Amino acid sequence: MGIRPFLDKEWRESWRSGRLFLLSALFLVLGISTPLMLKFLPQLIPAEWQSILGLLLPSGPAAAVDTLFKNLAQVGVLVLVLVVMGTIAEERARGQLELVLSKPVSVTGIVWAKFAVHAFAFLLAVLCAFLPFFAYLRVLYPPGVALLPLLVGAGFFVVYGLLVIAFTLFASALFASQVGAALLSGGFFLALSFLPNLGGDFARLSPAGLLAAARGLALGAGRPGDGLLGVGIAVGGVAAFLCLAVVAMRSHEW
Amino acid sequence: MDPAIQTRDLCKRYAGRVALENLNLAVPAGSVFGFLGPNGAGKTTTLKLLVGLRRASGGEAWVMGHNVRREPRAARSLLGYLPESPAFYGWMSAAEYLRFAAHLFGLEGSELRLRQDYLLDLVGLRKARGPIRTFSRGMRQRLGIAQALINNPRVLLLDEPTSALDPIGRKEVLDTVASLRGGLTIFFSTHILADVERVADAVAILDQGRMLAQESMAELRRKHARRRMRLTVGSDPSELLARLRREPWLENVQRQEDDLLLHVKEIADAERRLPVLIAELGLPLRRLEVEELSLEEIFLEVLGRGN
Repeated sequence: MGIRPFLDKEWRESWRSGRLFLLSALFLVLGISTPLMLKFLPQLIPAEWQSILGLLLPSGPAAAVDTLFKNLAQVGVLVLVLVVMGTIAEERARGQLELVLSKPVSVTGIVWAKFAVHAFAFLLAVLCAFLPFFAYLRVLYPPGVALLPLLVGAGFFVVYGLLVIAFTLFASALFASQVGAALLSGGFFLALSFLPNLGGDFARLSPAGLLAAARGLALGAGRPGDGLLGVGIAVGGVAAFLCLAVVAMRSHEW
Repeated sequence: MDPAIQTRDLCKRYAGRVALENLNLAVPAGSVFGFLGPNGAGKTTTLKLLVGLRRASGGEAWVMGHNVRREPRAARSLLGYLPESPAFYGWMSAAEYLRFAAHLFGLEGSELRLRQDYLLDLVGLRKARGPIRTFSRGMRQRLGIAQALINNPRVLLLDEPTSALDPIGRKEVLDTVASLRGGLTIFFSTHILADVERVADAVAILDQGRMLAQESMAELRRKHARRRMRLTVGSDPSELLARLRREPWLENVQRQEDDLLLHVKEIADAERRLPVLIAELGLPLRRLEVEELSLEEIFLEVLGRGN
């Protein structure tokens, strides 16, 4: 039996539990609030207070794009890990997977279906962040930024998010507890985000370097070719971690 | 006829601890087979090995001729499995879960709907509309049986299907199992002897990973019939007792208030000689009956924990 029954189940579960919209709601808030905060915060905090507090409040479309990417890469990715971490571990701990695996099913189908539905939810969430962000930027800082480069930058961020999903699924398949999955994922992404600081090829090729390329593209400062190698590496990582998740599930006794 | 389930020297060890040791099992096709044993005997391990949820440390197992290690999908497609505490997706309804389970076997369209409706009727959940998380334990267990039957299996494996249920839930589940008799092979593990007595044709007794007995119920009773007789006479039995102790067919006799409890070597000799003795002594006979051993007594005897 292939992936279809699992896709159907995952989709309905995401829809009914509201998980499908949780990330979209958060990303929508970030997409709307980022340009608004940058535009109006300097007006809300008097200039004297800003100098007393030593605040340097950035402004303008470039700062807004930069802030949005930072927020999404930190808060967004953290919430993404929290949403995905229990996907397999929780079903295993509850015994739901035992009943499913007693039937002639493919573990690969289970893993890929979970990945596909999380990936769709993440894509939806990214659109929920970037489309209103683009519109607000046009209104608050006319003429704003160009849509196509912004969307290409968002696409790079999506690839980074898919890597987060694939690794967290692998961690979830490895551990019987959500906490174990969360700790492993957290550690991995801490290490991953540190890699670009090493400079040179690490900055260019590591999946976390994609975020810098995405920011550059969104501001029209970079070329799509800048991050392509990073995209390739991230896509390879997605495939590798999904395969590892399948191997981890097959290695368990239920 | 080939057995529906067969194992050869099936073993399972966990970090040096032996959970199952050289299990050689042959479950006749079409039987209701009780797999008896105290807690920790290795019953659940055996079932999980048969389903392919655990890997054997040694030996082989077959379900309807399919090796569960080499042909796991072929074996699983012919069996239905109910774990001790089945866990469903709580947000689904009973009908939704059955549809999901049916899709896993590739069932679609009218075939699926017919099977789903039939099973919901069979387990009495046709009117259960809410999500599964609102179901009682008994309802979950019945849904568990329904999902295990969704593929019209040749072999049904039930792990302690009644152990967590109240008497009403237990009766409902046993009634369902009894209604399935004849159509498929039912292999169920339990430590509740009354359940086995009620529905099983044959049993295997397992203790500390070792199989101690494997018989039909009739054969088990015959082998372990202890030839015990209860005799009540209408007056003082002292003289009878003295005469009985000289009889070669008697093993021993105990006095229990007004009754005499006789353990005999040969029941036929006892049945022939006893009425003669009583008549010779002119005693009024109130009661003479051959007592059968309960399954509990047989179970304890097989386990070596009987009196």
